[in-house]
Amino acid sequence: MSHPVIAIAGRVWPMPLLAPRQNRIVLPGVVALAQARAGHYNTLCDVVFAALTRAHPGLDRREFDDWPIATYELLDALPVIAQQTGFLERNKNVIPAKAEIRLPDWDAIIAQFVNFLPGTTPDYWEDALTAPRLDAMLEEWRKHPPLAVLAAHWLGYKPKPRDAEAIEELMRLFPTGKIACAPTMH
Amino acid sequence: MSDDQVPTITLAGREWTVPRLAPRQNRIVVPALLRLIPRIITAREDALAAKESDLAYLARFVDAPTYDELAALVYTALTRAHPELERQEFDDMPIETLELIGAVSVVARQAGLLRPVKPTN
Repeated sequence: MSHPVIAIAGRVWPMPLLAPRQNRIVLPGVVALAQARAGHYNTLCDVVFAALTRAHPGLDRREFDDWPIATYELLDALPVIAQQTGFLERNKNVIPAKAEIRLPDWDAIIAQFVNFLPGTTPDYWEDALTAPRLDAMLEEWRKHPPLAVLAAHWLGYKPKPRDAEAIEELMRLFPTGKIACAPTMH
Repeated sequence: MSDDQVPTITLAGREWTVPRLAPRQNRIVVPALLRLIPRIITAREDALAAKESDLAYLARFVDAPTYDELAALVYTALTRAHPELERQEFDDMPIETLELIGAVSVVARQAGLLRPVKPTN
């Protein structure tokens, strides 16, 4: 499969679809850069370096920091990297503003995959879960829900509230911390 | 680019090579350039319009913070080819302000803010 490429330090680098290991850095970075303010050079470097590690996991950040990289090379790479996140509008160089994008909760998504696909590990999905795979799996689960989900629905199972949620609910009901009862006549 | 093609800047009467910069320098140089270049261009246009001298042109934008930023920018660019150069040493060099300003366009090119012009046939 041929991947799009970017040119960095005068060298051509393949840019496969990114996985959570890169997207954890790249997506928030791209969103921050879309709201371009001065002083984002570091973010630009973080995004491009993280994206390069998809095809070249052995790259050393200290080495990267010493490469003769033209600023326009970093800027030219950005639309390709944004597209390869798989989560931003494809085939357009327009990066949506932060208000229009909800960043994925990678830990929750990976936990769901590990739960429903026994035998896989979080580390596996950290490098294997691209946007098309995520979309395909969610569509498959929509059509054919995992057995555990069906069983929970059939049994009317509802998850217990977390301890913190229970305390918050008590605080909401009794904001002064006092439980007062109106006197009753017998 | 071979060594003899590396551009140079003149500081304290000495020629200094400025190779293409790396992120280590650009994280200081690029934000500084983006702040300084519009001010230099505006000041130069105003000076040309008013037919003012170099000194009046300088006075338009070189206040203490701007000078410090200009010096930090040029010093950082120099460390690409001269990583051993100490900032204290640089601050004691007899550098003319016009030399610092003259270095900006070379540093901007070497930071990759300007695309190289493609030769036309």
